[in-house]
Amino acid sequence: MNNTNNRRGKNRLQPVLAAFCLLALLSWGGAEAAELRFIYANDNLGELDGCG
Amino acid sequence: MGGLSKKAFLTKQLAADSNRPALIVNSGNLLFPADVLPPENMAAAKITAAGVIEANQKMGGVVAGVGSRDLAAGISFLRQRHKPDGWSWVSLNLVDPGTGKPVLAPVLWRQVNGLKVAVLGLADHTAVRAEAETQALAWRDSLPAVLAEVQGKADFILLLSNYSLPDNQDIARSHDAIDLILQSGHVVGNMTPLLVNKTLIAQTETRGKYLGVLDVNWNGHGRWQEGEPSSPAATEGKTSVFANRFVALKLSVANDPEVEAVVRQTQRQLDQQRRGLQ
Repeated sequence: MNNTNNRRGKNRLQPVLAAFCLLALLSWGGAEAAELRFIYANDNLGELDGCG
Repeated sequence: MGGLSKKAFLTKQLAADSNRPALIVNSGNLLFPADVLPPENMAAAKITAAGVIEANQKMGGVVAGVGSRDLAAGISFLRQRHKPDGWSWVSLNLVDPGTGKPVLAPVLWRQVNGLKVAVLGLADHTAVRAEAETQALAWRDSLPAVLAEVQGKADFILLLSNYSLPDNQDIARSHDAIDLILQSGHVVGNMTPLLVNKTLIAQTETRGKYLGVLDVNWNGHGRWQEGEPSSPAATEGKTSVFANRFVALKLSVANDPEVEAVVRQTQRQLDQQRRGLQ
């Protein structure tokens, strides 16, 4: 009797756990999304007035 | 008036996009025209270099990698101008020969649009001259430990590298964690981003003739794809999307008054220095 109740309890918990894992995965992946811009240059070589 | 004030005008315009916060960086060889300067040119070169740093800072620049040419006036010149709250030189492989510890910041952390960006620097150890105050370690001996330390904490890892393209390709193949390498030296001309493993590698033309602009829609470390970063597909996608362009600093570009003043002041100091020599 007790074993049957435990099994039912575990079965009820499984969808909740699965939904929690899915939400955790989604929020972990989404937290990093962002737009940004890199403005870069190199080898200026001490030029004050170099121009293209 | 000079290219730096035109560069500042464009940089400030490009950085003003509130939807896409910018990080303004220089990947190395910013200051001097050669690894070794004739002693009679050193004083003028230092005046110019100080003006170049001030101008880059005023246009919003925060960090530069160290190229072998940046060491022409010695490591002390860079250390005196390393201000973590304003302008940082990053190099993880320039170390004190006695202690083995980095002589500059090995990494700079910046928060950009909610992302923790780690900016690392590598000088080409084969090009750096031996100096009593500093020694350059090979990247294979210095990079892994620093990467292990930052990769769990950073959302994005940018490496400013003075190594050649084949070396940077080796670095990208050996270390999955690096998202972007901006290189200096070794290449003539603009180099559009090259994807190697999980890393983009790019570089601009020399002598400040172009600005590189890399727009990114970052969806986490892993896969890059070229495209329009603001498109709905990019926003919903599982890959990070990038678009790169090179902006020429033509004579028709306007001058930024703030940086123009720095350039004029630097030129006055150079004139005074020359008159003092006569």
